[in-house]
Amino acid sequence: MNGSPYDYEALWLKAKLFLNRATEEDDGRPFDEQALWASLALELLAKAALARVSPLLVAEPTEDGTNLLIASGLVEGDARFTSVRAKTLYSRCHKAFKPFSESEATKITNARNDYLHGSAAGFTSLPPSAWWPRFWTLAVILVNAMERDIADLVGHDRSHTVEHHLKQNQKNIEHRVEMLIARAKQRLNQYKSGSLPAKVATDWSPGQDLSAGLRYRDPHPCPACGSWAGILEGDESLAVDLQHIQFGDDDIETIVYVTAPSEYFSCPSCSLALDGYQLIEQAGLPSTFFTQGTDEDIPDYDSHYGND
Amino acid sequence: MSNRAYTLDQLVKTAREKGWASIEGANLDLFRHQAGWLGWTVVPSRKDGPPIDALKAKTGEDAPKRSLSAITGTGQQPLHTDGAHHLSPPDLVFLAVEEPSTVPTLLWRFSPLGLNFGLTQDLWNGLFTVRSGSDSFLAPAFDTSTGSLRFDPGCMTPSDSRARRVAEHLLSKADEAVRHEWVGSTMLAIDNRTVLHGRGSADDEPDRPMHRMAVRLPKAVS
Repeated sequence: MNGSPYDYEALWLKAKLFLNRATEEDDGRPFDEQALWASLALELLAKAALARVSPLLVAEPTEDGTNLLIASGLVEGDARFTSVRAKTLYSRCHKAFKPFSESEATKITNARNDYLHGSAAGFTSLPPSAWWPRFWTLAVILVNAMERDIADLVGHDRSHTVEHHLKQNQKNIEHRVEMLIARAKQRLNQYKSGSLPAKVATDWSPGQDLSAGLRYRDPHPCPACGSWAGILEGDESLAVDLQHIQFGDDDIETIVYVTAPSEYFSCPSCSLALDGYQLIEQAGLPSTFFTQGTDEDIPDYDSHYGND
Repeated sequence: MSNRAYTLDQLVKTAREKGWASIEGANLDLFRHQAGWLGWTVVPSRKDGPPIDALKAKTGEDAPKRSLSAITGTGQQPLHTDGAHHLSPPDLVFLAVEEPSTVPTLLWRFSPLGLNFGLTQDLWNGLFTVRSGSDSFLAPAFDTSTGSLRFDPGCMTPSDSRARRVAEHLLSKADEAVRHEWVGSTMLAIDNRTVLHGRGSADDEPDRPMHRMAVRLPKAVS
């Protein structure tokens, strides 16, 4: 604890407070209100996890730099706390704390904003039994990123409830992947046998491009139909390897290979689509893939200096 | 080590073992210098306040706005730890009176042993909003990393149901408190990390003078 507005311990304690309110059984709060407190806690956990690495990751840059100066500890001040938006926070967490899902976290924030600022009467259309597992799957990643465990956040007496939700989420993922693969197989078989319902047949035929358009991609056998038309995609470069091939004294060609995270898989053959690390992992696909990159992937490609 | 320093050391050692300890004599000034030699940090109650407070029971109107006296007047104080409004509260509190007094100090030693599981979790996880001037921060009543209790209903407001249950539990302990009677020139050392204390009713002796000094021990000692 300290007086800095970007202090991660203070952010952690506030997240803990909001989750105390969200998880108290005797308070008589309706689920919508519990979810509201929990959604606010998720944003604070994201801030705490990033601020623990560096407070600069959560401070909103301003023209005069006051927030950054306070966050860096160079200036003491009681300036109004302005931190980066939830979208930016979750994007940073997605990159820094795998497998944190930016899209799942954004769904929670959007629901919160609709509930707070719109006319929506309820927080979400999902039942609590489906919402909490998704929430805790995100929260636990941030908790782990802070080298803590769920009991530190909610207490030992409530951690078993969270564990139950996490197991439930794992089951949900297993069921979902099983269902998606089974449906993709079924659809392809029906198509091949000519028994695909007419209504479906008008919308679907093999060969449709379902790719997400991410930066890196690599073919991979489809877990549903086995086709090598399956494509793994990822938007980040986790590592870059250079292979130099010498064709002659002055003729050296450099081939760039990039290791990227498997963020999306699609198969044009059977239309299986798996969006997110957890579904991809559950389907038995690799968590990263190796693919050819370009010169632009070489770090500091333009700035090398040589004594030649 | 001088005899006096030895006395201070022994007093503190006993207080840490048993929750509190007292000795004859009430020279806090001397103890303050010795505390400095031992590397202890004197923690004033208020920012820029004196290292040794002169305490006198005050009616609600005369008391500083943000003080326990403003709430209780000369009546019995709720049990509390001193310096709960500091981010890092003092480890020890010394109270001293020169003359015998009919106003007792109530003492209650906290122990997590014997508490039911739910209450233990509430103590560790329930959060209070601690207010001091324009500053505020969140804190549990029991810090598991230091094993210390922080509780003062004058500056700590329960912010969730867990904290409300903790406050209710701790406030109920006044009935079990031990009365320390001030029979002469005496100094009382209280382990502020495990003991709640509070002044008994001073309605009949509102002018009883008392001095207080709070110290934080170096980590190696604490």
